[in-house]
Amino acid sequence: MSLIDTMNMCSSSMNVEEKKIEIHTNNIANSESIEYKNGKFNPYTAKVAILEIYKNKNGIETTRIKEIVDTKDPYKKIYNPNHPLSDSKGYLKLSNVNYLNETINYLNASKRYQANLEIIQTMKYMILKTIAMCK
Amino acid sequence: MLNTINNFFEINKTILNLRSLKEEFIASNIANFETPNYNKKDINFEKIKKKIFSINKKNELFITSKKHMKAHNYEIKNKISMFLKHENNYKTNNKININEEKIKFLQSSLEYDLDIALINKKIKNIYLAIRG
Repeated sequence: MSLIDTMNMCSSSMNVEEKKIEIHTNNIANSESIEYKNGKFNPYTAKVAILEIYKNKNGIETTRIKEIVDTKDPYKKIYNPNHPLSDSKGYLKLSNVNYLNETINYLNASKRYQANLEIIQTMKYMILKTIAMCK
Repeated sequence: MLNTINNFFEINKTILNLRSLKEEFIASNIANFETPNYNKKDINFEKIKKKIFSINKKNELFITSKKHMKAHNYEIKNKISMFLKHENNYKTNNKININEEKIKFLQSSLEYDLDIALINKKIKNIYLAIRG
């Protein structure tokens, strides 16, 4: 039934949007964090989700998250010679999280989630109308 | 006479029971969304259909022309309780997609609505037959 297939597409999209909202929130929350990697202290790198098309069991093209990668934005630097993690010249690296980008992307994701919900509601209404024909 | 009317609704009774059972399973899947090593439960309607409907070839209508349609007489088996075994389709770790489950729940509730509508239609037809 194609109406139900449409609903399933929407559900996969909703999953993706949920995950994206999670990633953006995580970026904002960790904008001042420091990661310990390979024996070095590094500032937190902002992450972004990369999506791909995949076909589910019924051959319907839906969406899913392929991988979550670090962004390539440059790190901010401030002059702070008193900080324990600053380099020999007295500069301290800060994370590359861009608040404005994260907020806008978050709003986009939540709007797309709402759009999918509305599609599902419309489909439900259509199916109920079809059932009403049998009465 | 009454016996035939009773048999009329036997299949509807079975299907409605199965639908409500499926909704129970989906609700339990959603409830155990974060339970580790939980096996997803689902009903395979295709298998059940093959079990319930056994086509009687003895009671087929006599056909005199190639253009006549075949009319199958479906006989419903009495042992319905044996079909109500749940099937664990997924033996992997818990990977329940909550949105998918919600959509499934919506789908099965709509199918339930459809069945109720069809039963109403059947009852109306019986009234029509009685009153003429």
